[in-house]
Amino acid sequence: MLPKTENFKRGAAETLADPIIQESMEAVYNGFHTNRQSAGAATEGWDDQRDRGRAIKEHTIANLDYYLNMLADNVDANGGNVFFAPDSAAASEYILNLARDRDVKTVIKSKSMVSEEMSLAHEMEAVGIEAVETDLGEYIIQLAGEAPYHIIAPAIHKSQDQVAEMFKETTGVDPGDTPEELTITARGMLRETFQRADMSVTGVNFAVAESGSIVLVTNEGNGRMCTSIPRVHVAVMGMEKIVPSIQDLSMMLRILIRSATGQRISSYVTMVNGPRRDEEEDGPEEFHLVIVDNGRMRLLEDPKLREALYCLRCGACLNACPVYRKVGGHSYGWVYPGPIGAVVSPVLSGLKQGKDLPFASSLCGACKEVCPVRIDIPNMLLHLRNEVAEGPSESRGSGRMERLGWKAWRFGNMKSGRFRRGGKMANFLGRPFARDGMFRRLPPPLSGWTRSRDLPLTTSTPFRDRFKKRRQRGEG
Amino acid sequence: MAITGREAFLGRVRGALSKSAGVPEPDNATHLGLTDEDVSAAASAVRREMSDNADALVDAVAESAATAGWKVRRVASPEDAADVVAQICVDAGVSNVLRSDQDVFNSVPVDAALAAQGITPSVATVGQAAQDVPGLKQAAFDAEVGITGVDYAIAETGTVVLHPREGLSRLVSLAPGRHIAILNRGDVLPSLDELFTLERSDYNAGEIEGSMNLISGPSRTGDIAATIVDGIHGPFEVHLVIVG
Amino acid sequence: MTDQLAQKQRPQRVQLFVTCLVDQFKPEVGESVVNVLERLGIRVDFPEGQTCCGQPAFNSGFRNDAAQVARHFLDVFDATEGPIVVPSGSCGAMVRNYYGDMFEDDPAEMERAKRVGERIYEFTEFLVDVLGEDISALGLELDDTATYHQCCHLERELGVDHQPRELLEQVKGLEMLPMYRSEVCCGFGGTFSVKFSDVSTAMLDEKLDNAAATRASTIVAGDTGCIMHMAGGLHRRGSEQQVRHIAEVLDDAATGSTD
Repeated sequence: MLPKTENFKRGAAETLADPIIQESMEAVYNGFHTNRQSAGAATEGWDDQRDRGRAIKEHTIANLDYYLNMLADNVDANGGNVFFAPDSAAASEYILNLARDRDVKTVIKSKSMVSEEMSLAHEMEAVGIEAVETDLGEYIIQLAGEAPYHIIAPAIHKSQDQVAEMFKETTGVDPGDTPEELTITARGMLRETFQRADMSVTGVNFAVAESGSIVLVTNEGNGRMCTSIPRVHVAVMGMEKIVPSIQDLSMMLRILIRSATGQRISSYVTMVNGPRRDEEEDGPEEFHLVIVDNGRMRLLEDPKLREALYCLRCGACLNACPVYRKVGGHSYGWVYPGPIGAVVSPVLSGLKQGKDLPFASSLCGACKEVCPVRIDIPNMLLHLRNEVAEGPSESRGSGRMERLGWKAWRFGNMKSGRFRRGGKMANFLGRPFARDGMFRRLPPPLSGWTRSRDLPLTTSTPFRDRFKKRRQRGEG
Repeated sequence: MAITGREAFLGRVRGALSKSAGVPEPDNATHLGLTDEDVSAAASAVRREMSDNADALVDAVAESAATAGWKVRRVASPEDAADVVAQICVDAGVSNVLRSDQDVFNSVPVDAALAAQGITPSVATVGQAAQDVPGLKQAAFDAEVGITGVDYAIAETGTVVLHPREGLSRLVSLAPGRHIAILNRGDVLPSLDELFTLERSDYNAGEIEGSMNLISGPSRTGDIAATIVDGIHGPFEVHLVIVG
Repeated sequence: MTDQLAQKQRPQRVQLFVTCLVDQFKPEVGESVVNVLERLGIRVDFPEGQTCCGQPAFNSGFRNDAAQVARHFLDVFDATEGPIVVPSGSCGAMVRNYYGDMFEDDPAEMERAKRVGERIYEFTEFLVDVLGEDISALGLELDDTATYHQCCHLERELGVDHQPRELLEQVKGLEMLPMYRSEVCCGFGGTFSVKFSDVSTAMLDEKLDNAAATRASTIVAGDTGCIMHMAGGLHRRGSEQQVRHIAEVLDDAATGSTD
C-alpha cells in the first residue's frame, strides 16, 4: 500500500462529517478500551508484567542482529526456509515466485499488517492468483477495496447494513441482516475457500528465536485453518516481532491479548515449529518465514524512535486515543493508524510527506498509559515535531512565517518587562474587537480557535501587577 | 563468497544499532539465560504440581473454561464420560462424528457409548477416515462433531492444549461445527507460564511437536458491528468433559 | 516522626510560578492560589522575572526557541530557594519531565534543570502531599454542585490523580457529580486546537456534552489551558455552566485558616 500520509486533514474532515463512522467508533472505547482496563485490573502483577515485557523487547531490539540470526538458524533446523526482505517489493517477489513455482491457484491469508504494507493480495490478484483474506474484518474490507481501519478490527467503521449490502453483491443471495446471520453467511463463503486453498500467508504475533517457532493469535480460527490446510505456509513478519525464549511467550501473550481485546486469552493461540512432521496426519509440507525491513531500519537507527519497534500491534493506543476515535483509521493514510501510526507512518513513508501526523495529537498521553510495553508515544511525537520544525531541510516541513512567529514568541518571553508590555499591548489592541472580554472571530492562525470557541482578551491587570499591589498593601 | 541476503540484512541491523556481531550480555528479563538443567528442574516441579494439586486445578479449570465459553461437564468415571459425549451428540441431532486416535479413547469408551445410540464415529487418521490428506480434510469438513482428548488444560485461561501429531489431525478440533474435548484429572496446569516451561523443556530434549494449539472456547468474531458472534470459521459449540 | 520534625520539614515559604496563561488571562486563579497558601500560613514569593516555561514552542517542535525561554526560566527560579508551586499540571510536567530533553548536550544546564525540576510541585500536589493534614485547617465549605475534569498532563505526566479529588471531597456542602469519560482529553493540546481545529472541536463537544449531562453548575479542572478551552466552548454555546480552576473553588470554600 502506498502511503498517503499527506491527506490527514482532508480525511479527518470527511470522517468527522460521517455519522455512521462516528457512531461505530464509539465501540472502540466502550468495548475494547473498557475491557482492556478491566482485564488489566484483574490480572495479578499486571504492571510488573508490562515492565518485564518492555524489558524483553528492549533487550531483544538492542541485540536484534543476534536474535534474528538465531531465529533463522532454528527455522532452518526445523526444516523451514527463511527469506530476509529489505523492502516490501522483495518480500512480494519472493512470495509470488514461490506461488508460481508451486503451481498455487488459491491463497488464503490471515491477518497480517506487514502484508498490508506489501499490498500482497493485490499483487497476487494481478498475476492471476486468487488471494482471499480470511479474517472476517479483513474479508469485508477486501470486498470494499479499502485499507484496514483498525489494527485488530479492520472493518470497525462498517455498519451491519453496509456489510449486508456487500455480501449480497458478492453472493447474489440475501445474506440476512443481523451480525449473527451475516457471520453465518461469511462462514459458508469462506469454508469453501479454505478447502481448496493450496497456500497460506499469515502474519506473526511472536517469533521465538531459540526454537524457530512462530505464534499466531486469533479468535476466529482462520489462523488455524491457514496453518492446517494448505500445502505451503508462508509467515510474514516485521523484523522486530521476536522474543528470545519459548518461556517468554506466556507473559507476552498475556499483555498482548489483554491489551487488545481485554480477553484473558483469545480463542486460539497457534504455535508453529516448522512444516508438518512426517508422521503427522495433516498440515503444510512447506514452511517459509519472510522477515521484512521495509523502513524499520530508520526506526532502529534513531535511539529516540527505536522503542516504536517494541510495539506488539495490540491496538490499545488506538482505542484509548480521543483523536483516533474522531478522525478514524484511514485519515492516517497508511497501514498503521492511531498514535503508533502517527509515529511509524511518517518515518516509513517519509517525514516531509507525513509531516501533519506527529502534530495530529493533543499529547494527552492516553496511548502511553495503556501501552502494554509502555511505549512513550508522546515523546516520540515531540521528537518528530522537532524534526519537522527544525530538522535538516530535506525533512523540514515548517513554514517561514511559523519559524518567525516562534522567534517573536521567544523574544517576548526573554524578559518579564517585555512579556508584561506584550500582554498590555494585546489588551489595548484587542479591546475594540472584543465583547464582554471575549473574541468571537479572529484572523488566522487564531481563526482555528474561534471557529468553535470564544477566546478571552488578555487582562489589563496581569497577576504580576496584582501581586505587587497586594504586597504594597502589606497583605500576606 | 557472495554476501547472502541474511548477512547483508544483519549487517544493516548492526549498522543501525552501531554495534558489532557478538553474544549479548545476559539479561534477566528474558528466560533465555536459564540453563537446560534449570528448565528441566522447573518442568519436573510443574509435573509434580499437576499431580499434587490436581483437585484444586481441576476445580479451577472447570470454572475458567466455562468463563471462556466451554460447556463444561464433570463426571466421576470414564464410562460416565463416554455417556455424556454420546448424549451431546444425540442432543445435537448429529450422526457424522469424527474422533482423533488418542490414548484417551482406550480408557473412555466413546465408541461403545456412541454405538449404543446408533452412531459410528470415524477415526480422523489417514488410513481410517480417509486414504490420504485431502480425503481426511474432506472428512473433517463434513463431520458435525469432532472429539479429541486434551494434552493439557490451563486453569488460568480455561484453555485446552493440543499438539497435532500422529493420530491427532489438526482439523478434527477445528473443522466440525462442534468440538468435544475429554480432559483427565491430573492434566491441568496452573497457568500459561507452566505450559511454556514444559514446552521449552520438551524443546531442549528434542521432543517438541511440530505445532501446538491453545483452544479457549468457541471460534469467535466481533468484526460485524462490534457484536461478538460464536462460530465464524471453527466450532460454534465446544464441550469440555472432565473425568475424575 | 515527631511533631517537631514534621514542623521543621513543613515549608514556611514557597516560590510561585503562576504560568503565562494565568498571568495574562486568568489572574484571579493566581490570587486564589496565594489566598489559599497564605491561609495555611505559607509565605508566597513571586519571582518577578518569570514569563513562560517554554512549553508552547517545545510542543510545536521549536526546541531551540523553547530552550532559550527555558534557560530564562531556570535563571529566574534557580536564584530562589524552596518549593516552587505551579497551578498547572502541564507547565509542571514541562519543567519536571521535559527540560532534560532539551539539554542533553549541555551537562551544566541539565544539572540546573534537574535541580529546579525537583523543587516543582503542582498546586494540589503541594497541598495534599506536602502539607497533608494541615489543609483541614482551611475549613472548606461551599454550597454548590460540581464535576471534575481530569486534565491530561496533571494526571498522566505528573501522576497527580487522587489529590484534587481528595481536596474537593473535603469541601462540605459541595456535591461532586461524576462525569462520564472524565479522563478523556478536552481537545485543547496547545497549538493542536488551532492547527486541527475541527478535530479539537469534536473532542471539546464530546467533553462539554458529558459535562452538561452531569447538571453540575461548575466544572472543576486544574490546568488553565484546558479551562480556557472549555470556557471558550461554553461561552460560545451560551451555557450556564462555568468552568473554574480548583484553586478558585478552594479559595471560595475556605472559611478557616491556621493564622
